[in-house]
Amino acid sequence: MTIPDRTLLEMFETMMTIRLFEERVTLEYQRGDMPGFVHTYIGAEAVATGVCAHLSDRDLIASTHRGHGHSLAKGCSIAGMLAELYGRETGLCKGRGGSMHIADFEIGMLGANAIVGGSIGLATGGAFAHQVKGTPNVSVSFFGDGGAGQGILYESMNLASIWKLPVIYVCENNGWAESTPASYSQSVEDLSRRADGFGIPGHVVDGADVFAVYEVAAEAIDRARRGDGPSFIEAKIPRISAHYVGDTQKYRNEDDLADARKRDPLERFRSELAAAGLLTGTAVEGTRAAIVDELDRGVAAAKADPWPTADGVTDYVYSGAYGG
Amino acid sequence: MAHEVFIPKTGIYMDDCHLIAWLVDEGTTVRAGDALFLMETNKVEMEIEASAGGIVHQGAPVGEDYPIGRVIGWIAEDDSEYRRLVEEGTSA
Ligand SMILES: Cc1ncc(C[n+]2csc(CCOP(=O)(O)OP(=O)(O)O)c2C)c(N)n1
Ligand SMILES: [Mg+2]
Repeated sequence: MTIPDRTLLEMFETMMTIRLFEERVTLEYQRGDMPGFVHTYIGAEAVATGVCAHLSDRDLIASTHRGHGHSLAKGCSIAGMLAELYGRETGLCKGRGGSMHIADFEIGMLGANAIVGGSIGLATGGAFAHQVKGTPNVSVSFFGDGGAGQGILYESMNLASIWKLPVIYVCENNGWAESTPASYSQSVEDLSRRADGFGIPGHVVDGADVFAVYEVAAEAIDRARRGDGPSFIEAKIPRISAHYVGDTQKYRNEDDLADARKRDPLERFRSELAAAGLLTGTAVEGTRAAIVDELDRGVAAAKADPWPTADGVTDYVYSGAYGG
Repeated sequence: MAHEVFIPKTGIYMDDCHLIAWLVDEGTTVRAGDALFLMETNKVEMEIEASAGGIVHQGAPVGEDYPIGRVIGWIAEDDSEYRRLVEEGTSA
């Protein structure tokens, strides 16, 4: 499959945006100004990027506790996300959600989710809505290897297969659920094999290779748009980031972390584009500077923005339809 | 510009941190990711890594409590920056 140059460069910019966003959020979180917990998407950039490159605002995604990368790849604004992380009224969810509840329905982002596996039912329901409405759209559920342990995945895959729902299950397998290795807690090495039991095509892909992700996602998404039903993609990704910012990973041996770092998807894509003559060092620095500038402005604005007030605590809890 | 070394927030519930020890001597050259200091918070001891490479200038004594975000030292990019930090007698 040949991918247009413009698409490649856009994907590079998306991956770099995710990386720089996460590095900046890590620093700002450590400074102490950001409430809650933060899980970064460093090392997984190629997955959200390679999948979301095929989606429009009318396609849906549902995400995880590690949701910043999915949000950015789907098109959430940097400023709106930063304000949300700082808990401000100007955030994408008016500061009520924070890192693990970022959502933007306008662009088909159904939400990050603090419930492991929480994306699965949401995305399957979204796919059912597309089918009922007769629109040619798809719905993508992102979840981790830990998330694949939730029973709802297997109920959902069964229904999605029977009803030929336009849903794609994307399992980001980084080999760990917090401090539990997948080798200890999962019955098979390739989780995608389980899709076979539901009559759903299962794919394994190197999640550090954005070309490969883009290609397999194209196949699965085309199939869903044609009305042929669901697919399961298992992207094997390196766990470069700790489970959450502040996790010292004492349970992990150093080789495992060093091996993960060697599989850096961003560095790999950069060198591939450079070798293909599509990207110069100057261009990389230019992109980096523009993103850093946007992050600087976003952080400064978010910190100066107003907090939600106590008398607004019940706002947005009920939809207007119920007189809320 | 020298990188600030500060007490990082590492979880939701976090009080002041006790600086137990510097894990490298004053003036040591470190790489990003090297263990830099040991702190204790909520009964957990944690090694904190250098966020950048360079020469370490310690700016706060061990054995004391510090709030999250407090600058406790610097990592200078080169010799001249390090000497300037030392001459200025910079301390946190
Ligand atoms: C239903 C549920 N159970 C447990 C947790 C606690 N928890 C948060 S993240 C996590 C591990 C998730 O692992 P995985 O799905 O592989 O995602 P990763 O963190 O590796 O990206 C767990 C157990 C939770 N948030 N929700
Ligand atoms: Mg995992």
